[in-house]
Amino acid sequence: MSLLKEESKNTINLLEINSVTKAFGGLKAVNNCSLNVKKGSITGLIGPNGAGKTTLFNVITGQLPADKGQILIDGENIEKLPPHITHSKGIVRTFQIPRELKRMTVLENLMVVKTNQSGENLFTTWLNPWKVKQEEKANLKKAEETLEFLRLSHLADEYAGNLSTGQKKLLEIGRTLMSDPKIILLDEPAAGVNPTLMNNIVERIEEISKEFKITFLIIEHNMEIIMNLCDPIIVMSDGSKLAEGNAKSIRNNKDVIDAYLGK
Amino acid sequence: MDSILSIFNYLSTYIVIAGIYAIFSLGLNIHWGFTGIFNIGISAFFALGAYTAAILTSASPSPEMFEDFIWGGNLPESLGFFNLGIDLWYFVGMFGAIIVCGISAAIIGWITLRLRDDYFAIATLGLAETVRFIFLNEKWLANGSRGMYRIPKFLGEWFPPAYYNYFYGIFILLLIFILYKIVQKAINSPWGRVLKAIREDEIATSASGKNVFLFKLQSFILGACIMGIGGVVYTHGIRYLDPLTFDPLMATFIIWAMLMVGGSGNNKGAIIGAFIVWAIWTWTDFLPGFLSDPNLKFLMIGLLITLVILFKPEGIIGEKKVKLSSKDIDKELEPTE
Repeated sequence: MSLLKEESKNTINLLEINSVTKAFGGLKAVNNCSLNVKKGSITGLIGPNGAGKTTLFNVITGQLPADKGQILIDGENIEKLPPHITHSKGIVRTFQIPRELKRMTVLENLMVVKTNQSGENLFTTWLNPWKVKQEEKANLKKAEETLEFLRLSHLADEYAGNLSTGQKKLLEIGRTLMSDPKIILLDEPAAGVNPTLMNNIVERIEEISKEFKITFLIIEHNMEIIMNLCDPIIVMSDGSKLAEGNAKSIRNNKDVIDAYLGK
Repeated sequence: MDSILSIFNYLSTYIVIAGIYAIFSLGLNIHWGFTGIFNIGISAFFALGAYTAAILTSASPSPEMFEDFIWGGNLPESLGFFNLGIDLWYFVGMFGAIIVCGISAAIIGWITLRLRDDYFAIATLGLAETVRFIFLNEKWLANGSRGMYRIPKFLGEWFPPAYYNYFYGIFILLLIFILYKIVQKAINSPWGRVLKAIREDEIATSASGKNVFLFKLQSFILGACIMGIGGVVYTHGIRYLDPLTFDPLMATFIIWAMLMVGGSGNNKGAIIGAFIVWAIWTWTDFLPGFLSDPNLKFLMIGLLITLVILFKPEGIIGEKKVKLSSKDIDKELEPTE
């Protein structure tokens, strides 16, 4: 009995997706999809192009409203909430094509993310500048620590638009870290990144997972990264879950080989 | 001696008009320069501010002069007992204009700010024309096409009419300085940082936990209030208003030219752009021969915009980078020069 309890504690689901559907006209990009992400895991999400992976991210974060189904984080329904609310529930994401804030510096890109800044109220900035300044100092310190962690300190005052693709991807990961998230959704963190930076990105993901106990859900087409980094791996095809398991079982799964991996 | 005096008189008038435009440019900079709100209906808030102040402060209508409007607030008279050497009515009128512009911007923004950039632009253009036609057709409100006149001067009895613009010019420069400080404080705060993030990428900003719509609405309201203040200053400086004042060329597009030339995203640029473009607009009158042809003004402004876009696309004083790295952590968090 006690063993069973222990087991269920270890495999508690942070994010639950129950039969979610999202259609664009006649095309069901996400079709009755159900999957769970365990707390503390680095879960991989793979599948052929057009399988609905990015659309699923958009539905989870609230960028696109789900047509049907349920999405739960820590047992709380979030499928009807807009992006800025799901962010406050602890779901943060990066984008397949980096959406850095081009004409703002790297530090500004990070500092803008912090939640509950009293300086975001116009009247506080006019009437209580001292309080705003104190918060800004703390915010700046956290942003600089994040940059140091990402090995991007030398670019602190550079415009984000001038960064390389890999650096932009790291910066996006940095933005997710500025708000103490529960789960980070990474959309192809290694696409278009040179091998050295790719190693840096992978190491950072592992370190974040270990040290901050943050859960990851990662879309990636680079099998080397997925197989080494992620456990479990979820395979999506035609808008719903095809298979789930560790690297070995996925590699040997016949359906997955047919749909995605190839022989 | 007389010619020098007339040059100074001319310069004071130039400062009054260019200064009024600088206020509009400052307001537009909040919309476009910092938030990326494509507002081509500046004249709507210009008109609302100007007419609110005019209606509040003008004398009651007199039927002998064929005045159709029914409500002259006549604040200078009714606030007479407050008049302890300071014309308080001017600021009451300004306050009224800010309230009217702010509430209008809140209602209009609530409806239209959900539209995508280009559709929003069309909506603001429609708004500007709507406001103009309301003041043109509702004669009971603001005397229709005959316009509002007999608008009082601010501290008019203190200065002889020949020198009044010297005072008003200095007053406007002071007002610009105060508004500049207020806007600068707002833009260099976390609030302004969110606006810039919205300008760069709305989706990324909302994915960073910011309520994009509410921030855009606040920006729209603040910019509209500043445009309203510009309208008030115009009203008491020119002292005559009719709906033709608010045609799109002189009340919207020239302000866009000023912001583009000066540098959008920089409040100093917005102010300087107004002075430069207005100088070209009026000083070409003094050019010899055919060069003083009024139609050539359009060409000159067009040429200026083209040159700026070719050689300095960010404007004469472009946006400044906000440097924040640890060495100046204790300094004021403001852009470096």
